Amino acid sequence: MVDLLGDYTIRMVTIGSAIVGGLCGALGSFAYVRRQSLVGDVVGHAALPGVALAYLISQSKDLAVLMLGAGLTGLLALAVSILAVRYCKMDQGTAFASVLSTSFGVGVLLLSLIQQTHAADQAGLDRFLFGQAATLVEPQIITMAGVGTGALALMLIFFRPLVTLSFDPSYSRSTGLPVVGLESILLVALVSSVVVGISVAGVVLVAALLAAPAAAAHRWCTRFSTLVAVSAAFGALSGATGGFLSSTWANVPTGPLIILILTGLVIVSLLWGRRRTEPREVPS
Amino acid sequence: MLWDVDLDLPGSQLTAIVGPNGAGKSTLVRAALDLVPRQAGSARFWDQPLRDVRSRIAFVPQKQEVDWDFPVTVRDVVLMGLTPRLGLFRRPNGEHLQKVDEVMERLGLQPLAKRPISHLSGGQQQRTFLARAMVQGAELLIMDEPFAGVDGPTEELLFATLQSLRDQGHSIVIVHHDLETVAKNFDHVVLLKREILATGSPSSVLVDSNLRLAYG
Amino acid sequence: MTSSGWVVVIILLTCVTCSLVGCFLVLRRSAMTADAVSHSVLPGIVFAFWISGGLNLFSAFLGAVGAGALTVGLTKWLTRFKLKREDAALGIVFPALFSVGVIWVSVAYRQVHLDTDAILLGEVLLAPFEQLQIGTTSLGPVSVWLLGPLLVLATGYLKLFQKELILESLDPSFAKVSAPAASQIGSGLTLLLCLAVVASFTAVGVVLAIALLIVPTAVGRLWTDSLRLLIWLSVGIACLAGGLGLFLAFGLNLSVSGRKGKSSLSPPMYWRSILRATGTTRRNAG
Repeated sequence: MVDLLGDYTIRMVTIGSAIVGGLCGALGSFAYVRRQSLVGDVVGHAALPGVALAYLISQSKDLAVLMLGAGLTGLLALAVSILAVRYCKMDQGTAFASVLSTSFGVGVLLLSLIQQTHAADQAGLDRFLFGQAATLVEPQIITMAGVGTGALALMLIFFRPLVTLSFDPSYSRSTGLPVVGLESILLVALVSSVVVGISVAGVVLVAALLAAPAAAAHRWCTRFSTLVAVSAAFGALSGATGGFLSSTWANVPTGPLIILILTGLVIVSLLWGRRRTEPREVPS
Repeated sequence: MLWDVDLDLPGSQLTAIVGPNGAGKSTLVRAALDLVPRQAGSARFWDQPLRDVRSRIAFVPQKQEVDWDFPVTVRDVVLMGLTPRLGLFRRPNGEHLQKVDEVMERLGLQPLAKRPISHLSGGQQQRTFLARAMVQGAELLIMDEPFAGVDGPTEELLFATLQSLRDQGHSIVIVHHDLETVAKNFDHVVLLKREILATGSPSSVLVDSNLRLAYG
Repeated sequence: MTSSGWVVVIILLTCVTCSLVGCFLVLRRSAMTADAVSHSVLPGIVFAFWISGGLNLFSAFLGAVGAGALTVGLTKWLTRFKLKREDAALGIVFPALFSVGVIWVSVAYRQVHLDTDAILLGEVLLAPFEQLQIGTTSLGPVSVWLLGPLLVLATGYLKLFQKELILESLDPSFAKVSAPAASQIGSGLTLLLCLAVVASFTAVGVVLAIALLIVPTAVGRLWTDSLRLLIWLSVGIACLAGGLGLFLAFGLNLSVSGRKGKSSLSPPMYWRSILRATGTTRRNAG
C-alpha cells in the first residue's frame, strides 16, 4: 500500500479523485436539498462547447484554460435555463433537457471542426467527454485544488444565508436577504465544482458526483451542516478508493469506477441508514 | 389578479384576510412584500417603504411551499430567524442564542429542539415558524394559511399564542379560509374577492349581504 | 435510392417520431427522463452484445430498450419509496448504468470495436449502408425498417390514447385513483420513448436525440397553448431544423466522411437555438 502510493501516477490519480469527490460531495448537497441535482448534468454537457472554444481561441490544452472555457459556457447554460423557467414559465426539466442537448450539439460541431482543421489534435479534448484521471499530473492537480478551494471558501463564507435561502426562498426574500446575489454565488460555486469534476468523471457521469454522496448522506443526518460534511467525506472516500483501484487494475477507467463505488454507498445507506424510510404522509 | 386594492390595516391587532378560493388573498400579501410583481401601486409599512423595514416584518409562507424533507432540526429553523439581523457574515453570539432558547421555551418547543422537521405535526410546524418570526424580533407577522391541516385543539393553542403576541403590541395579519373561527378570534377582517369587498370589525364585515357578494 | 436520399428519409423519420413522442413527454414534465434513458442505452447494447455474441442492430435494439425500461423503473421506485426526489434518483440511476456499460466495454471487449463515440454521437452517413437483406435481395436500410413502423406505432398510440395521456399529465393522482388505465397508458409512453431513443441513435446519436425529443416542443410551447397546434408545430419545427441541418451540413461540407458524419446534426441544433430565442422574445413582447 505504502509502496503503491509511492508510485507517482497512482498518487496523483488518488489525490486528484479524492479532491474532486470531496468538492462535488460538499457542493452537491446544496443541489440535492434544492432538488436541482441535475444541474451537474446540464453544466457537464454545456462544458463541451466551452472546452472546444477555449482550445480554438487559445490553441493550448492547459487544463486551467480549458476549465475556464467550460465554466463560462456551463454558467451561461445554467443561467439560460433558470431564466427560461422564471420568465417563459418553462418546466425545469424541459429547460434543462433543451439547454443541455442544444449546447452539447454545438460542442460536437466545434469538436468536429477542430478535428478537421487540426487533424489529430482532438486527443486532449476527449478527456472531457469521458474523463481521464489516469493522465493527471501535479500542475493539473494544483489547478483543480485551487478552483476547489475557491468554491469551498464561497460556500463556507456564505453558509448561513445560503442555507436559509435554500430552505425557504419566500421567507429569505421577505426579510431582504440579497437573494439574487446569493443565488449567483451558489451557482458559481456549483459550476466550479462540476467543472473540476468533469476532468475526472467526464460530462456524462458528473451528475452522479453531485447527486449520489448527498443522497447517501441524507440517510444518516438530520442537520444540514452534518449532511454537507458527511456528503463531502463520502465523495472524497469514493474518489480516493476509485482512483487508487483504477490505477492499480489494468483497463478500468477511473470515473465510472468512482460512480459505481458511490452507487454502492447509496445502496448501503438506503438499506441500513438511520433515517426512517417508509413513505410518510406528506403534510398538506 | 387583483384590482383597486386600497387598504389600511390597523396596528397591534389580529387581522384576517378572508375570501373564496382564487380571490387573491395570498397574492395580496405577497404583492405587499414584493414577492410577486405588481403592475402598479405601492405598499407602506408604518409609513415607510418596505426596504427600510424589512427586518421588522416576518413572513410565514404556505405549508406546501416548504420542503419538509429538508435536513434541518427545529432549532436550526428557529436560528434562521437571526439571519436578517446578522446579515451575511456575522455569527450568532451568546446573547442571540439565549434569545432563541427563551422563545423556544415560551412556545413549548424545547423538547422538540433536536427533532428533524420531517417528524413534526401540523401544529408543531406552525409553532416552529412562529418561533422563527419571534427570534427575528418582528413587529408585524404575516402568515399565509397557517391553519390549513391543523386540528381543533392545536388551532386554539396557536390562537392563544397569537393573541398574547398581539397583547404585547405585535401586529398580525393572517390569510385565512375558515369563516367560522373569524368572529371569535380576530379583531379585524378584510373580505376579498379580486377587490376589497369590506373591511372592519368582524361583526360589521361578516354580514349576509357582504357574504353573498363574496361567496354567492 | 441513393445513399444521400436514404439519409434524408432517415433524418426526417427520426425528426417526426422524436418530436411526436417528445411532445407528450414535455407535457408530462418528464423531459429529463429522455436524458436519462438516452444515456443508459450503452449498457443495454453491451449486454445484447454479450448475449448474442455479435453486434447486430436488432439485438442492440432489444438490449437498449430493456436498459431504458430499467432506468425508468428504477428511477420511479427510488423516487417513490426511497429518495422522494426525482432529480437525485435520475442523477444516480443513469450514471450508474452508464458506468457499468463503460467498465464492461473497457475490461471485456477491448479487442472488439464497439465505438462509444458512435453511440453517443451517431453517424448518420453510415446508416444507409446497413441494409436489411432477405436472401440476396436488399430491402433498404435497417434504420428505415425500424423507424417507419415505430412512427406508425407512435402515431397510433398517441392518437388513440390522447385523452388518457393528457389526463395523466394534468393530474397523476386523480388518474391513479379514478382511471387506473390512464396510468398504464402513461407507462406505455415511456416505452415509446425508449424505442424512439434507440431507433434514432443510429441516425443522430443519443445526446442529440434528446434535442429532437424535447426542443421542438419547448419552442412550440412558447408560441401556443393549444395542444393540437402544439403537436403540429413541434413536428414542423423538428423537420425544418432537420432539413436545414442536412442542407447546411452538405452545403458546408462538414460531413464529407463517415467519421465526420456525427457533426451533420449539429447545425440543426444551432438553428433551433436561434428559433428558440425568437420564440422567447416574441412571447415576452406579446
